[in-house]
Amino acid sequence: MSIPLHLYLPIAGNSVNILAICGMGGVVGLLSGIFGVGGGFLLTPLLIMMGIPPTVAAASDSNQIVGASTSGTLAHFKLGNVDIKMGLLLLIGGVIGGTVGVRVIQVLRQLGNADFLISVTYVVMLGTIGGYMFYESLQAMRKPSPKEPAAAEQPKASSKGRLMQRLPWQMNFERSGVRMSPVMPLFLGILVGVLAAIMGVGGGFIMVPIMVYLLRMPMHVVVGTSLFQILFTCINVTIMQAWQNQTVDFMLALLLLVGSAVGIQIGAKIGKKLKADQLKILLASLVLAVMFKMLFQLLVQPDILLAYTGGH
Amino acid sequence: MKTMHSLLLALLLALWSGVALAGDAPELTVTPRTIDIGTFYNGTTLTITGEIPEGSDAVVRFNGAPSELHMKEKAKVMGLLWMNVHPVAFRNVPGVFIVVTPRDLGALAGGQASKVAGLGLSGLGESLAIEADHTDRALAVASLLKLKKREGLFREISDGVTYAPSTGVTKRFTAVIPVPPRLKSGDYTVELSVIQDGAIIADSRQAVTAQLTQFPLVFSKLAFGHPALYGIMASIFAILAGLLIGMFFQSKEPH
Repeated sequence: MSIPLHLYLPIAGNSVNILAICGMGGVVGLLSGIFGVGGGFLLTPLLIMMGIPPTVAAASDSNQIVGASTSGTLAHFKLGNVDIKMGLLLLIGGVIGGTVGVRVIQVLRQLGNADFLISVTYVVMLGTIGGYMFYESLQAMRKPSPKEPAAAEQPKASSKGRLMQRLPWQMNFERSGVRMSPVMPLFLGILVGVLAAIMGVGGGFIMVPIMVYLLRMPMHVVVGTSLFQILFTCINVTIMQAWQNQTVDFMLALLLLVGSAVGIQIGAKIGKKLKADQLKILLASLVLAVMFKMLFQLLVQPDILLAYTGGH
Repeated sequence: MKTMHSLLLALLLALWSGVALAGDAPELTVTPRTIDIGTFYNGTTLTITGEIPEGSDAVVRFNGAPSELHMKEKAKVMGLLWMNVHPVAFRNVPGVFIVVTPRDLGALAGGQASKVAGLGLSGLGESLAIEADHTDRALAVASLLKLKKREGLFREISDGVTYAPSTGVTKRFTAVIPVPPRLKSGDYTVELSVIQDGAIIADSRQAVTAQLTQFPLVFSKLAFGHPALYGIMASIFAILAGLLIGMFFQSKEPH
């Protein structure tokens, strides 16, 4: 009796190779564990290439991120890398921003400009974030410094820093080692939520640089806290997509989950061994690679001039 | 005299068989009649057998039910970016369209533009209806056929029909249709067209059903019948799986 190598996905309406999907999940989980991103911006296009309809790929991907980020949050929590207080504030902001972002998309769709705006936003955001992170990390790596800037340091009283100190209800975020008003993470969470809704992603690759550069959190705490926030965002997306669109294929999510939940654990261990600047420059490289791939697809004539509606 | 009578009788019988077969729907047997799409389904084959007049050819088609397909046509925006721009709706698009012939359809049609040549993908393309504002019809149809061929749902197989040694009046044929992994549950049709001298002289149809079984059936019923519950359960299972794997890894760490 031969071992079956394929699994039929009833919602996707297609059969997939079990090992290929688990492997794909494993690689993306590894990246999630190292960088604190959900991985949707990597995994969804790969699933579409394997013959999964775009809407099912995006929704099932969110389901597997729930499992992977649970595994990752647990791993990072044990390492002391999850700032729950900060994570909850970013999450609340993200939910509000996501709701606003969906409305923005509805208006833009009526005006007929949504797809163009989404594509341009993707490339600009990825390029800006990736480019800045790459440059900044390279500069930091070239100048030897004893350790990454701790939150207690206030190297110069910048206008941004003074503004942050003037905000009300200043509180300590012990795990991150920063002191700030909750207004800041709430506002940034809303911003990320709007962008994530427009771009149709979890927002990890936007959230991570925001936590590093604007909230001045240490990189290792950023990774764990980002996974914590993504967990709840993706629970919401999974339930809503299953309920309203019936696009969550749990069998696909389970296959991805087996790979990604293992990968994220390994990724957390690898991330522990890397310095903050190394993590940043690697993430920046990944983001820039995705940006160039998207730009290539936008500039080069595709061989098939038709696409299914929906999805990314 | 007796020999003459025998020859005349044989000739009359042969003529009558040909006429009878040409007039009646030819015999068609499809195995299996039901395709079970179970947990490990990855495509299957349908074996079609039947009897057709000597000197004719069998063309067998496996068709899915026609439906409407809403897509977007890609075009250059601002002369620079390739994007999904114009909505396009295709009507009468079969879910699956696989044509199996003993040799090239063009050869069967005798090089003429006829209904025989139209049995294949080119004929399907012409039968599609398109609703679009800014579309070159020929280009849109060509793109759709290319996309569906890439998905394995539309195929023309020009050496898929074989014949048993002839009995003199009729011959048995066997066609094997590869059913793709990307199959949805529903009703399908196997169609036989009997071709002689570049024309269709008879045809026959047989229904085939594809049905979900095992885990695909369970998940499908839950996803479409109880979607909110399905979403909550999917999230809970994902969390539990993540916790289990996380705890397994933590237990392996040295203390």
